[in-house]
Amino acid sequence: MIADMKKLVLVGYNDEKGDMLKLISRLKIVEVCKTSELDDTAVVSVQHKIDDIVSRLARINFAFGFINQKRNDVKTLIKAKACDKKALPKRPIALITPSKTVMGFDEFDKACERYPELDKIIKELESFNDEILECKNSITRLKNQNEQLSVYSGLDIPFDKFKSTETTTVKLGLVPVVNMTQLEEVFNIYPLTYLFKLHQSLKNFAVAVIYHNDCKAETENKLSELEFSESLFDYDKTASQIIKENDDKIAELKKRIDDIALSVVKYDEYLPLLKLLSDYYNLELKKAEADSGIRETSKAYVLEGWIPAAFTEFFDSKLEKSNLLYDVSYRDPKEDEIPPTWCVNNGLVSKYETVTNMYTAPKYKEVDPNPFVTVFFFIIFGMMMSDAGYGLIMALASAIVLKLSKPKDGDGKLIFIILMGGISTIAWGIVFGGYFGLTFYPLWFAPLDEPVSMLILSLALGIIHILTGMGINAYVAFRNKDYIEAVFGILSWYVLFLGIGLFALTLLFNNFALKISSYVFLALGAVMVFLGGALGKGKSFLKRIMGGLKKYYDIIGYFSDILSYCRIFGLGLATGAIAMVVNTIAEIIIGMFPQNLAFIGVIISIPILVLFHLFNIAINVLGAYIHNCRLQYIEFFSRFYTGGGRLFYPLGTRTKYISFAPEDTEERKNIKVKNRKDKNNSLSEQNISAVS
Amino acid sequence: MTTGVFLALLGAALAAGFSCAGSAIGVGIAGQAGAGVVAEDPDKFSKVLILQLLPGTQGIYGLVVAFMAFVKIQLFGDVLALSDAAGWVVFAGCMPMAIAGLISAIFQGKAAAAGIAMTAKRPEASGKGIIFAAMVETYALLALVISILAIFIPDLTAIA
Repeated sequence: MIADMKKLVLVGYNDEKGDMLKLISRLKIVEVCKTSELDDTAVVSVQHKIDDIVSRLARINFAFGFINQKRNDVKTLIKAKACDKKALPKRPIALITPSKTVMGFDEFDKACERYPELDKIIKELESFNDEILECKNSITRLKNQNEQLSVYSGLDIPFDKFKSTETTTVKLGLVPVVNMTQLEEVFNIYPLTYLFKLHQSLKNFAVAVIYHNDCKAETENKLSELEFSESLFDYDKTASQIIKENDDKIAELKKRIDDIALSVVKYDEYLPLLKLLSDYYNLELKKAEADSGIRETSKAYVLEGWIPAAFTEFFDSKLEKSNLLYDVSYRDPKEDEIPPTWCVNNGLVSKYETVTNMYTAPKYKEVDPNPFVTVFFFIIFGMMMSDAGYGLIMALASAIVLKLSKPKDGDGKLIFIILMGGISTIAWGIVFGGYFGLTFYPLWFAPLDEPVSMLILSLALGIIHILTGMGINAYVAFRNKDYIEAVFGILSWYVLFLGIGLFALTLLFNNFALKISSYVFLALGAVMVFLGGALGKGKSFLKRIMGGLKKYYDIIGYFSDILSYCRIFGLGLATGAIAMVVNTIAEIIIGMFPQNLAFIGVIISIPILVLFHLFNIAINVLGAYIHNCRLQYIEFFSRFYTGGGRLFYPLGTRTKYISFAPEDTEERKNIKVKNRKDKNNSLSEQNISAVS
Repeated sequence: MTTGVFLALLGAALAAGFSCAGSAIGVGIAGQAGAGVVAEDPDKFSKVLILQLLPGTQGIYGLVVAFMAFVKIQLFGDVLALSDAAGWVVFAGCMPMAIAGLISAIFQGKAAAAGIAMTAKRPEASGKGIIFAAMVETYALLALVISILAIFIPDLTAIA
């Protein structure tokens, strides 16, 4: 059900605004929203505060990212056997360790005191990062230099030996390979010149030229004509010496980068602090954002927010206990206000809310589809898997994960759904007699032996699913006193489908009474469906006829939707068939060995069986989940559900790493959440456990 | 081995071969998109991997259909002496999966690649991307259903 919401208006002194927001974030029951326009008040910008928090969060995120990045680098080093395995601090395995730390509010609020400590750590990380960048730049520079030097690597004379004397000029440089022959000719023709060919690279030839200063002018002319470029190096070492030195430097720098990575991974020990402060500043950011919508005068503020109607007294009592000055009032939402949706369901159904929310959350004024989704999702999941052995593994695996990871604050819903799916799979597996691909005394029938029965069962389930959806729609129409739509628009189809069903039975049993009743229902249904399209205010005669006839067109929609349920058949059989393939492969392997050596075949086939059955489970759980969702979204929801609601997220919830230790669980447990009030809806109440 | 058996095996081979080829193309398309996203943000690996795997199911469906055909003609025991017509019947039964498996896997790969691009921008929307890609798979599933029924229902020994 969807909880009844009230708009909360809270007035207090500006000095105490921060404390009030803190109290609200601790109670986790109010979603602060923008205060509506009010005379003599203004919104005071808190942008500087938000900017400050955002920049702190950015630094924290940098630290997370940097540590993780270096962790991956170290993993690569370990793979390359460049360092010891122990260099990598162990991290808890995600699924089997609790992901949240439990903490009291007071301890959490003290987190900001530890910012200097964190600041120091982040600064260290930042300087490491800077050093890495510096090293990388140096490496690039050295590599470039090496590349330029490599053309002279054949030269075993240091660069500074190429010195001109009083009468001769000595030059070292590069000439394009294509101009080389011409250059040689030039040096053959001129006397008092000499050309040393040093080294040929892809494009250039490294040469040393010597010429007497008497023929300086024409030689230099020729040289520049032939694109000779003089080397600017004047080291007292040979090229290969420098290259080697550079290579050593590069190796050293790389070693330094690796060393930094090794020291950065040690910062894993600060992850709890990073996580704590990440949550702290995220909550601060939420508070600041809430603050940015609050209107103020010079002395007082006006805060507005949404609160579940059932929690107003609880909130009052908590305000009274605080030392703050305030004035509070609650009112019903106005016509143009859209309250957030808070689905309140029992422990089982609340897990399946993720399925609905992945599509779209229900609107505030809508029927909560979650109880229905729960029932059908549960049934269909097992049919799609249809193997008791697989179900057992799914249930056990997810139960272990839940037991070890102890999810808090509504996490781990998906795993719970898989656990329930496992239970459903066990049940259907026993019905179909499927155990790891072997058929074993089915309670009803084995899908692989009677595929047609399985197909009919799938479609029948589809019909029930769709009729349920239409039933909800009819209920809503009745509630809204739209009786014509309820009876002729929706229930008429029930009559028509009943007629079709009875008619199908007459094909099996030739019974006169059955035949007559099927015709009666068919005719009645057809007339009612027609009326559903034809009735209504302000329509011309022709429009009524057209509207009525158009309704019959919906039959195609119903049939294609029902046929869509044959995916249950397809997926269910696929699971069984793949399991059979795996078993057959194992059988063939065992069969390859002679009778007395069959045990070798058994030993070989065991890992194959385990691996492929696990693969089959994984791929089919994914398939079953996705296609189950699709049946809910497209076939079921299209009958009655629009969605598009905004979920209720009270200030103080949605922390990522920290779970607050509950302080007033008992008090909250006793609060009965009322269903959202509708004009024509009687109040229904339900006991719910603590809000978290 | 009769010509009928050959035709039945040919059908099974095409169902498995085409579907697997389609899946290979589809998973490849999605994988290329995924590698780009993971290069930017390695944390998205698991979300991207699920999307990449989606077009892989057609290959499995093809395998299922081929296996069904094997079981039907008792390939693992005394192979049925199928008539030509009976062989063609099995062949025809395999065709829906062969055709739809090939084509749907390719297009599912494209839809999955788009979903991966969406995950890169909005990680929380990856579930919706999965649903978009799964829409394409519907038609592979319909083909699977028809292929299974078309292979299972006919009584091959009665077809002359």
